[in-house]
Amino acid sequence: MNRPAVLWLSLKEIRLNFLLFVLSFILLTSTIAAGFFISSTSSDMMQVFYNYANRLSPDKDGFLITLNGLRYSSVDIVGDLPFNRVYPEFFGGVESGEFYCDGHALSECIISSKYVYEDVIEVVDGIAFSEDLNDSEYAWISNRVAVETGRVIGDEILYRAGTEFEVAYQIVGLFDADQYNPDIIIPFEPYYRAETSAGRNVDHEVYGILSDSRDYSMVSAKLRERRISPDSIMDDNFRSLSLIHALFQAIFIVILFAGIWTFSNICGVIIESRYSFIMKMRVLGMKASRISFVYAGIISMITLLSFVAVFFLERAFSENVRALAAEMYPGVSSTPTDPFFRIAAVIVISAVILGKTIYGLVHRINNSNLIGLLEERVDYGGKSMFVHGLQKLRR
Amino acid sequence: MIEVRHLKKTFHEGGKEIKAADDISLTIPDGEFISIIGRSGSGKSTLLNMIGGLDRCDEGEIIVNGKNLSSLNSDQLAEYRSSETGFVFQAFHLETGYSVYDNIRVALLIAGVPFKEHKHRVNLALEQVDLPDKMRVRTAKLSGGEKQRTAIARALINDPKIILADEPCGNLDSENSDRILRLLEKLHRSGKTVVLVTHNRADANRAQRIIELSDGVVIRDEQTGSFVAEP
Repeated sequence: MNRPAVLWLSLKEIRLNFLLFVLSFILLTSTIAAGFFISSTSSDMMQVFYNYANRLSPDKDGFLITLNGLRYSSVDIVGDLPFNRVYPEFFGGVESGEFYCDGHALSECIISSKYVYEDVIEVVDGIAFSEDLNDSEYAWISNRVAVETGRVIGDEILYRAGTEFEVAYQIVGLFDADQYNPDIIIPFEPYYRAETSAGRNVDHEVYGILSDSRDYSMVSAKLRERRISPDSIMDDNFRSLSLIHALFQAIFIVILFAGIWTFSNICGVIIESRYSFIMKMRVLGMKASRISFVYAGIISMITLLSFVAVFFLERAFSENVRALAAEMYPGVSSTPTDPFFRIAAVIVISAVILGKTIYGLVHRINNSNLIGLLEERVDYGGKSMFVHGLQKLRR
Repeated sequence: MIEVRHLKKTFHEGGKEIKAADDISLTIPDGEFISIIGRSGSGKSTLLNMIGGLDRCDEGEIIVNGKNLSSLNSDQLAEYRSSETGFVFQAFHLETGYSVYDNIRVALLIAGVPFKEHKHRVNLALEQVDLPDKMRVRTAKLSGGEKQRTAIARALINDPKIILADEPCGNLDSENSDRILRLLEKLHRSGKTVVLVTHNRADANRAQRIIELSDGVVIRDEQTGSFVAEP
């Protein structure tokens, strides 16, 4: 490779076509940057939404989903999905008439059968609520029930499901209760077993908590495959925002495509306008590969410079937007979005379009008719008027 | 030495077959100044282009200083054009956006001559064509004669053995034409082989030998003294 000649010609060509190259650089940079801003802003919006959705979860660290159609006995079928936790709940009060104490049914009690690991009720005596106790025949009673029934920790109360099934619950804790709290709390699992053994249908709800709401669409799709219908209080927002986000990403791809395609066409026109010069160089003995390298190098350099400019512009823009959002909504929107999709899209689309342009350039130069130039028979194709116009302007 | 053996070249234009070279054979010894004349379409420029490695023949062969041009690939032909030939065209084919200096040094760059030699060599070439003070002038501002002298300087810059001139005076007035022809004569005297394509018989008479083509066939090949111009 005759490097000095290639370098000299490259610089000379850039200088001669400086305005066109600068304009094409500005066009490429501005279109890619515009696409990046749209995509980045949309991703930031989604990120804000994800963060907000995560914060709404009961344990403040995930995205709450209601799993409709999932029974307690089939919780295992969602075990391979990225749930932090899956738990069924039954908040409805058990009929107090089904609980017995010393052979007499309890009356005027609100009894809650639930998963006891999570509750705002504070146990004042005995064993605290724990997830480990979900499968135990333990019961927690309020101070009021303890006083009225004379029950203490260690005593039993009996639960009768129908006429055949009984579960004896051992009292393991006392709690303070106000009028909104239940009087007796029992774990769900032994209750569920007893009820289903008695042929009763236990109407309960199953919840899952995703570690990150961004997994929602993936998990949702997998759940639907398993005939489980997921639902979340953010569903409508999620769908709308996802749709808008997808639309913005599509716009980003279209803008990117249009920008790079236009840049490629401008490069094509610049090369066409220099075709006569290129042929002169070939007549003087410059190898086709070298002269192709000159223009391919210039195109690649402008593209690279554009990408660098876009990178810095995007960073500055995103950081400012995030800083503004963080100021307006503290703690909600400070996470930067992953630019992988945008960078991958730019690389793929640029490689395809510019690759085609450069291939066309090399093919054109290699297969050019030198004699055509000498006899002014250069085939400019459909671009002749524009090219000749440019040449006239240049002169 | 340039040896042309049974050269054939046919063009197809508008469904017609045009024979630009039909079994041409000739030999041009080193240092000879020859003119190729003929009417428009007689094949004189085609022959010059094939000798210069710009075009390929359909049949036959051209051997220049032992190299068979038909067997050279595109890159080898480019190398041949750069090192062994110097072209001068009717339309000058200078880059109007470049200065005289840059137009000439392009040929040096292509040949891989180090940068430090450029200025000196361009100066020498411009002195040869009597344009020493035009080095930094843009070629767009030159007169026709000056443009052609710049083109000759570019053709000379790599010291080729063969100068190929295709109607170099076609766009010039008589005074400038004479100046260009005197330059070509000077080059011939310095030992270069000069092949001049022209349709002007007076210009052709400045050469040692004249070859006349008609429909791709050599109809005359004579030394200048014996050539009789047709009315």
